[in-house]
Amino acid sequence: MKVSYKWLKDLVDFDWSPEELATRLTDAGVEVETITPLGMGLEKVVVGEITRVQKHPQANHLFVCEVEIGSEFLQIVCGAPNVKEKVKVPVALIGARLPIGVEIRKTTLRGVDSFGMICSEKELGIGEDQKGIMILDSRLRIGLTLTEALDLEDCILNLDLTPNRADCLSIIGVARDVGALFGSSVKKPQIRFNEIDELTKDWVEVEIEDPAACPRYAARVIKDVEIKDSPFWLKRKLESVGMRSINNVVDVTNFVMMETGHPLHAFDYDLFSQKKVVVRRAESGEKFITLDEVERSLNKENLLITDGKKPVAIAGIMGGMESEVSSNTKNVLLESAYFDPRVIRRGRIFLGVSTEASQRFERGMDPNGVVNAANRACQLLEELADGKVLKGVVDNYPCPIVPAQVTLRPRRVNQILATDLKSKEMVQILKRLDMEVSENQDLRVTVPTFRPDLSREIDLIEEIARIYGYDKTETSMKASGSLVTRLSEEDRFITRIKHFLVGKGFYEVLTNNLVDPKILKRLCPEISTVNLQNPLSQEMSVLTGSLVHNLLGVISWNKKRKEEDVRIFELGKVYLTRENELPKERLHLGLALSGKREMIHWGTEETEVDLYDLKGILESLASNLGVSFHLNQEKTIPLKSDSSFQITVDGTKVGILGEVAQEILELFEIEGKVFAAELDFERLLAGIPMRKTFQPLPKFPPVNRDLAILVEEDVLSERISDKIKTVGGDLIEEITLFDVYRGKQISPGKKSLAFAIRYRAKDKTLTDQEVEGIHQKIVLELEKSFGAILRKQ
Amino acid sequence: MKKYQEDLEKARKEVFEELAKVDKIKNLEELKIKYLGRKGIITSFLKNLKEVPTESRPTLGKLANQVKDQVEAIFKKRIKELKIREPSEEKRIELLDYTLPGRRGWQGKLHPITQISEKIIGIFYGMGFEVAKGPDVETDYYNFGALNFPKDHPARDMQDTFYIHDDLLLRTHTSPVQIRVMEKRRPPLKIIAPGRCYRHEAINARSYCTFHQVEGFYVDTDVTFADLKGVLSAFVWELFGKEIAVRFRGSFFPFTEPSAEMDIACVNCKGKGCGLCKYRGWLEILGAGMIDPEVFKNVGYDPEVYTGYAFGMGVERITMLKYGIDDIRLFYENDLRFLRQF
Ligand SMILES: [Zn+2]
Repeated sequence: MKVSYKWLKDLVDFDWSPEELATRLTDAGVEVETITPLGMGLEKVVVGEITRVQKHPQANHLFVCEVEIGSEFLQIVCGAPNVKEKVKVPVALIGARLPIGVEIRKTTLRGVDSFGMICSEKELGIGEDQKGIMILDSRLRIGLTLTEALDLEDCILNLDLTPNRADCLSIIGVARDVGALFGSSVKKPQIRFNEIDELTKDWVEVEIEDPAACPRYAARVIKDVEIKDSPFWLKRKLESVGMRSINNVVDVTNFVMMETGHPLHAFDYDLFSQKKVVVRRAESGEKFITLDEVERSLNKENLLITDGKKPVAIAGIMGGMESEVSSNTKNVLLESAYFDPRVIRRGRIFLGVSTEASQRFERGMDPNGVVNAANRACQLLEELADGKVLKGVVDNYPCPIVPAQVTLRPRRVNQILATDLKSKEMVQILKRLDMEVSENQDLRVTVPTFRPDLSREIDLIEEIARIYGYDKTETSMKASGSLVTRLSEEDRFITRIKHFLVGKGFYEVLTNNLVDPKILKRLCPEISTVNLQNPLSQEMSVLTGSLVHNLLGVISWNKKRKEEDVRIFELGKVYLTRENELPKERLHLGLALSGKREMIHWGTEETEVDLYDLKGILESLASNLGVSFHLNQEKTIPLKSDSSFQITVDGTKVGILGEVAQEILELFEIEGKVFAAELDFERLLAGIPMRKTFQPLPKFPPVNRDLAILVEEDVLSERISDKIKTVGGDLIEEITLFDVYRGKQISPGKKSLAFAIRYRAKDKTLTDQEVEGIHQKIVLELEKSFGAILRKQ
Repeated sequence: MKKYQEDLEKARKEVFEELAKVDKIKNLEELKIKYLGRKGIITSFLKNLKEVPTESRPTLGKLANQVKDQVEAIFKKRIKELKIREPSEEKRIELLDYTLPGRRGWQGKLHPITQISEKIIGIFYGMGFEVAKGPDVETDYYNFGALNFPKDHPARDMQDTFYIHDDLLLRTHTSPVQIRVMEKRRPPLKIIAPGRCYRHEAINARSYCTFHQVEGFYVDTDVTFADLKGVLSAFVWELFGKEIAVRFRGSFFPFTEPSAEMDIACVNCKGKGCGLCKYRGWLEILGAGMIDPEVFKNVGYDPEVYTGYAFGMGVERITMLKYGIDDIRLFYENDLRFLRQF
């Protein structure tokens, strides 16, 4: 909504500058986004009179004019077809910088000097007319600056209105708030016009089929109008608030809408097929051509204005092309109505349009301002279109809407706002907002119908607060509430894991979880995704079901930008649909790794990451959390078939880990290997022991023994260490695999594994013999179970 | 037994004599193997224990172990001594260049949004707020209805929404958590609810389809607008510095009444006016207000008994202001060159 500073000044007294006004309104909840000054660049444009016009000696289409600008006469070359002697025109002097960006200099046109420019409306940025130079009112004094002469100086406040403030979609509404803030009252325009003897009701009757949708419909008729251009002041006013001038009749309805807020509609009366207005619901599938020349298909949500035979407008949204006021119009039927906001909203959403009228009606207009708005238009049509206003209003208003009565307890106001306002001060504020207040201990407030947003005590408390000023109320710096604040285990572990991984060199990422189902399905074909009904695009139409998917996107982005070494993680949700329930949202931890193992260093050999880097990170994490992870081979689609594992904690699957399959990497255009893991955070959390118990430190010394064996390639090292543990039982404190060797001295298909075993008894010092005994047993058992061969050192 | 004892003593003396002559680590290592290796002289005494009579085994065993410990200790000591001496010889060849880069490991960073979220949550946690969470996919009721957004009301246009189907949507704000918590518990409640939200808006430098919000609310028997102003002022001063000017101005949210918008003096121009603040001198930082009685009714609280305030802020916006980031999309691209900066 655009509001002219000058227009406001016409309606209410205040002495704030545009900037100060903007601040006051913004503080009170009527946000002024920007202030645009008008009339800028016209400082060196003055009123001049053309005293002589001669043909240019060298050019057919040019004229050499002599122009009086008060103190002197200027010679100006001009090409406009409408240039003539004895007219007053705007003259841009040398040095002027016009709003359209032109700078005026002394020039020579085909050998004739020119000392300025006679301008069109367009060139001055004050109108659309560019057919010729602008002809000014002959009464204007020569030499006056144009801004002074035409009263052009103004500031436009661009309001960003909240949807509750329907009343501020009018200059009077904004003026009311200004008055309440400043302490003055709105000077509403006096409405006076003549009615002729003919009766409106003889010309038109109004029938409302759906009074719930259209509680009020008032019609007036204005005869014998003369359709023409609006006067300059009206054009200026409309243009200043961003509306285009059409003709005097349409302009009057728009002007009244801007002034009072109430949308009006002017029909060409003679295009009605009978003397009747019928308001009814549209049939579904009914076709109608609106005044923007679009044929629209309607449904029952749309309310129609008809003449009883054919529709003439979509109520509250847009008029029809056929009944539009045109240059041939003689008699005007003026509509001023009140429609149910919900009906207009549903109707315009169905049609996919939003108009000045629909914006107002869907926010709620004043049902009791209907006749006033119509009369204001009659006054202007009489004045500007020489119209003859028929006597009376045909006003169909079966169930008048009465103003709300609200009880306001001054004590409650002060309780909520922590203020110390007197009842009198509250009354004063409410009265300035045009509310009626009867004072008892509690206040009885009558809320005018132009404020449909105010119906409860708390609404009035807000009105008092915003007019009194939020910044004038107290600020309490004391603490209150409960003494204990808790942080959930989940949140504590989230923080801990994030910080742990950052310490391990991982960057945390946050990805867009709206993803492309085509790609997601390649990673997890069985997933039942949560699909959006109205996505921004197909590429972002489902909620993600895999963090690995999202992380691959990040790796791809970075590798394309020559960031090859990527270590990233995300703690984010994945989403799965469920029948008759909210979708399942599970928190996952995803990790991905690619590129070099270590930062380039002069003392370190450069190597690429492999599976054991990622596994190692997870093992460290497990040790940090006090759980232990086990891997089992299990094929998962996004991972390479021979490098795809499930991670378990105490037999429960908590996630997957492995090397990302080549065909998946190709989807993301990634070159090089990527290792990735994805863990279900809730399951992981469930595996973390929450209670810790102290174990006494060992009292007896340990005995360390190494064990190197040869086994077949397919024997997994964990099987061997498990076996060692089983055989050694409680006496084995720790087994560390410290060497894996293939190659020289080892026959192909075999590998050498070397374990360091630490033996310790809880209750005594182990002797060499005891250890040797167990050690031998272990060797035998390994030989038997795995065909292991002991390597002698 | 006597023989065993004597031999042991002899071996011990030998060790000390030979040790005195050695002045290179390499030679020392050889000597160590000779005495303490698998088949070393001292080691063999322990192995030979099984050949002495059973009754003297404990005494001799103890003795042999003592000697072994003693010899091990003296080796350790000598190695240490020699190690200190030897590098000084190498120094003449290779100078220690302490300006060479050290062996650094990779260092990661938390996402800037997480860093600022942690900061925000930390400040409120310190003021007695407890953390609560809710689902991203919400019903129309929790996201709108219970928060006093009537159906067919223009207030719904304030938040463009992604729908799953007519009743199911991606939450447009974290405010549904208010309803979920209040439905389950009774006041006093002092809650902070961080989380991801979604808006059906075209993606550009200023807006993205997903973003993070931190919601907060406090419900008790005598909560006032002054408490709201106090908590939010304290928060902003913690986050942006004590000297920063704040202002509260009128606004509209269906679930609060009175509603307010909180501004801080522009962090860029300190209020003088610049491009960042669109020459207003102020930056919008969060929305807030007193919880609307309708909301209380929807969760079964008596609005005559309880009052409360609520507020919500966009983490992306605050992070952008704090670091001077001018494009919201950077947060979701996760370019390492971006993440490294925070
Ligand atoms: Zn600024």
